[in-house]
Order: sequence, then structure tokens, then C-alpha cells
Amino acid sequence: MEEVLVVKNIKKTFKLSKKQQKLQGSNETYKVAVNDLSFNLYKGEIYGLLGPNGAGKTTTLRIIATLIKADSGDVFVNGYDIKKEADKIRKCIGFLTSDLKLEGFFTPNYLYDFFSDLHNVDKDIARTRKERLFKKFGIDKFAEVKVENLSSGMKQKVSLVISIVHDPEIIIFDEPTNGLDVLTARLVMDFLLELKNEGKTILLSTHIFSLVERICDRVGIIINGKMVCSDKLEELIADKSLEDVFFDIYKNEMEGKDL
Amino acid sequence: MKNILTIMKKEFARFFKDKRMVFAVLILPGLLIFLVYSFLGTNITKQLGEDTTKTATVYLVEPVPVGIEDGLNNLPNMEIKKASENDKIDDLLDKIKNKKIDIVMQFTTASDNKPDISIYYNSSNTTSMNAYTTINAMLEAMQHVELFHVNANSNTIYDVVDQKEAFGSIFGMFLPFLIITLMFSSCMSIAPESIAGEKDRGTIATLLVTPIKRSELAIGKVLSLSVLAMLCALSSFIGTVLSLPRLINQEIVDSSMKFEFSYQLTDYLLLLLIIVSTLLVLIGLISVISSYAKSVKEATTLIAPLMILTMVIGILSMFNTNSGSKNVGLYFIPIFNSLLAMGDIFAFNIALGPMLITIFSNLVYASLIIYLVTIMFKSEKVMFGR
Repeated sequence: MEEVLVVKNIKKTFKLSKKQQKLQGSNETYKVAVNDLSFNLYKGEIYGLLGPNGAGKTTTLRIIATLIKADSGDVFVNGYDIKKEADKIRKCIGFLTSDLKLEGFFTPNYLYDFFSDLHNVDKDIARTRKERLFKKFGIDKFAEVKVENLSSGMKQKVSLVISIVHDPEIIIFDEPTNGLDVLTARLVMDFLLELKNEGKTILLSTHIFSLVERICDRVGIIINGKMVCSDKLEELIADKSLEDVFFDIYKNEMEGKDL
Repeated sequence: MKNILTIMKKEFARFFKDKRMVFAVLILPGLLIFLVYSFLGTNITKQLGEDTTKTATVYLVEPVPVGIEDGLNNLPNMEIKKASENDKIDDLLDKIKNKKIDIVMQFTTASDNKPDISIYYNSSNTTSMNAYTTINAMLEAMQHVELFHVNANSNTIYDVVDQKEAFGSIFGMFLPFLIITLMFSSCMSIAPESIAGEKDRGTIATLLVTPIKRSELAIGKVLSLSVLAMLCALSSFIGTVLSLPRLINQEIVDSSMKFEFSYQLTDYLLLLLIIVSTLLVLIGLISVISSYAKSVKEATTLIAPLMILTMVIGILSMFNTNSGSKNVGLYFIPIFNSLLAMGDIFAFNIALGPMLITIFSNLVYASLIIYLVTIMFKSEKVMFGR
């Protein structure tokens, strides 16, 4: 199988301000967010990253999306080295996280066109795609409403659509169903499967076990910045539920035991 | 280049689609300046008009017609002197121009045997102007106007003011300071919102995950902000220009004077180049601070010292006696060089060397600053870490 994403031994440390130390109840001046983490993605699969809050999932995704740099280790996306060809990597990935916001002053219509321009998408293709995606997510009725006046669910849908204006090969979603009602969450889940069927590769970070069980081919579990487990879903869970497996792994990890 | 234009278009759309912002940034400053300066100007003119206590020196070139000298001697705050045979009329006029004396009255006989009275004065000298008005009033009161021709020769210039120099030096002194203040406030009203605001709202990260180069983002932001700041400064400038006649002297609008100190097209072009290059430097500096700040509020706070520094430099430039090519080194100092160059243009004292040094050094500084903004956009510590 073709590897489209390779993450090798990446490490990321953040310096903590005094305020952050206070918030975390720690005297440590540095926090290791990601520690010697490695995994890979094959073309056309959906890979789910699971882990508790602060485990390092979002930091890992931000490194892959070229927003921040790893202190050490390597990342290759579609064969491009992140250290040398970040611009090329940004062309072939679509990235969505709650940290990325849309300017509330603009309408979904304007923002879609703006980001299509930045991604150098042909105008006709962009228009056709916009019509299809807006209709699919029910954005078409609100296309000329300022983003700041949209509901949080609609904002999330607009963000999702805009993150894939350029029809990327690799899609990286951080908590894509966060804050969505059940109907919209289902719509997003179906859309992810649709993208997979189109041959896209998806890296997903979520807390929702049911979502992973339904759509992911492989799963990685991150705890305290380390990848403690990365395997095919069916081999990982066997006859248990993913939730049970996760808690077993988490418990063992915290007790310092091997699985 | 395409990405730079896309970023610029978005910045323009962000600005021009917001009617409140367009009103607050483009229309309100010019309107306020016009109203405030017009009000100030009217009151200043009024106050200056009342200043009649200073004694005016009036020279009479003989022969003086009977009754005139007595009438003049009875006028308040006036010292009447008779010109000697050695005093040439041109020398006396020079003295009026240099404000050493205030009035010269020359009496000659016209072809209809009515005496011609030529009253020379200097309109840029308040004492001279007051004396001129008083003498005219006296002649009317004595009903001698019908007996004399007063300033009747249309080919003679009775107001000996060096208009170009007078107005040039006034404009050269305070207009550059005014312009730099307007430019700075314009830059400050839009740049922090565009850069620190995007960081604050989390929208900059959305841009940073697109294939656009950080340098394109930096250039696009700085260029569009410069254009917007220029429009904003233009509004203030129009307000200033419209109110200038009232601010300096109501009589500037009078007759031929406006033609005698008008600026040429090349002056305006040079001024435009100086303004554009200065705006790039100012927007660049404010963009650096806005990139460093994590919120609009922090950016505004951090920009305050730069604003004070700019004001201090502006005030210093008002007292600077350097002009033209006396000390070209000063034209390499950012902001100060623009103030000097604009002062030279307004004072009709243009030397090409200092102008070119100012424009090119500003462009070099702006390029370096844009490079710095690019580095800051690349830095995760600056963009996300603080």
C-alpha cells in the first residue's frame, strides 16, 4: 500500500509561562507535548487518533499541517519533506481544527471564493464544487449571511467546506463533529466516508469512540505525547468495544505497564 | 503576485464593505479637521485683527501734500518719519519686505494734477497691515480720497510681501508635521485590526495553512494597508487643504496671491512619492508591532511609544534649519527624512539629491521591514506561542 503520510520520531516541547504553570499546577518550565511519536497513513484510509485532553493530538496535527515545527523528527507528506517543502505540503492537505476561525465579517460565499483563489482553484471548478458542497451541508441558504451571524453548527460546516476548497488528497480533521447536533454530526460522518470512497486519505482526531468504530480503518492512541498503540481497528478491539480497549490501554499506560 | 493581489482584495473588501469603518476612517477625520481648523482659523484671524497696539514705522517720501502729515501724526501707534534724499524707494521697499519698517507712502503728481498716493505695505506683517488699514480709513475720514488717487496704478504691486517665501516657510514648517500626524493616525486606525486582530480572532492561522507564502501574505497586508492608510490620509489632507485659508489667513483666497505661490506638478509628484514611501515605512513599523502583539489592545498599547517618538521627531523637524543639500545625512534618518523633504517641497526649496535619498532610503527601510514581518509570520512563537 502507498504511504502518503509518514511521521517519524517527532518531538515537540513548549515553554510554559508562569501563568500556564499556575494553570497546570506545575513548576515545570517546559512541557513535552509530543514525545518520539511515529505513525503513517496509507492512501485511501481513515486513521483515527484517540487520546485524552492534552495528550498531544492537536499538536501532532498542527505539526503535520505546517502550522508549527517539530523540535526533532521527520514528517513526509506525499513524499514532500516538511522541513524543505512546507508550501507543497499545504497544497495537498486540507486542515480543520477548532483553532482555525473564519472572519466573521465575510459571507460563506466570499470566503469560499477567497480561499479557492489562494489555493489557485480554477474558477469554474470552484463554482461547481461550491454549489455541490453548499447544497450538501445546507449552506446555500446562508451563503450571503455574514459568518458572525451564523449558528455555531453552521459555522463549523462552513469551516469544514472551506478547508477542502482545493479538493485535497489528504484531509486532517481535528474534532470535526465537535459542537454539532446529531443530524449534522451524521452528515459529516457520511461525508467523510464519501471522501474515503473518492480515494482521499483522512487523519482524524476525536473523542467520539462511535465515530472511530464506524469509519476508521486504523487507530492510534496517544497518551502523554507518546503513541502507545497503532493498529487496524478490528485487530485492536477484537471482541471488545473500542471504549473498553482504550480505557484498558490508558490504565496500563498510567500504571507504567505494557499492554 | 496573484496571491498578493488576492490578499489585497480581501483587505479592501474587509474595509470598504464596512460602512461604519469607511465613515470613521475615511470621512470623519477630514470632516473633523475641516470643522476644527475652520473654527480655530476664524478665531485666530479675529484675534490677530485686534492686535493694533504695536507702533508702526511709516516713511514718507516727499513732497508730502498739505494736511496729510498732520493727519498721520494724529494716528495712534504710528511713528512718522520722512525719507532722506539718500533713501532710495527700492531700499525702503526691501525694508518693508524684511519687516524693518511697516509703511512707505510716496506722493507723486498724476496727469490730472491730482496727487497719486502710493502706500506700500507687507500683508504678512500684522503691524504693517493694521497701519495700512488705519491710513486708508484716515484718508476716507478726511474725505481726501476724492482728491487723491490711492494705490491707483494697476501695474504697481503695493503689497511688497514675498508671498512665495512667506507662505512657503509657514507651510514648510507645520504642514509636514500635520501630514505625518495624519498618516500615523491613519496607519494606526487600520493596521492593528488587520494583523493583531486576525491573530486575536484566530483567522490568521486559517490563512497560514493555505499554500500562500508568508512573504506574499506580509507584502499583501502591508501594501493594502498602505493604500487604505493613504486614502485615509488623503481625506485628512483634503480637510486640511480646504480649511487652510481659514487657518492661516482669510485673505489667502484673495485675488492674485494664490497664483504667486502655487506649487508645480513636479512638486506634487515629489510630495506623492515622499508620502507613499513614508506610508510604507509607517505601515511596516506598525505591522511589526501588530504582528508581535497578541491582541488589538496590546498592539495599540505597544504602538503608543512609536507614536510619541514620531511626534517628537515631527516637532524637532519644525525647528530644523537644515534645508536642501546642507546636510544630506539627515535625509537617511527614517521619518525625519520625510519631514525634511516635505518641508523643502512646501518651502519651494527642492534639491533633487535629498529628495531621491529620502524616497530610496524609505523604500529600502520598507523592504527590510516587510522582510521582518515575513520572518515574524513564519515564527510560530510570534504567531501562536505568546
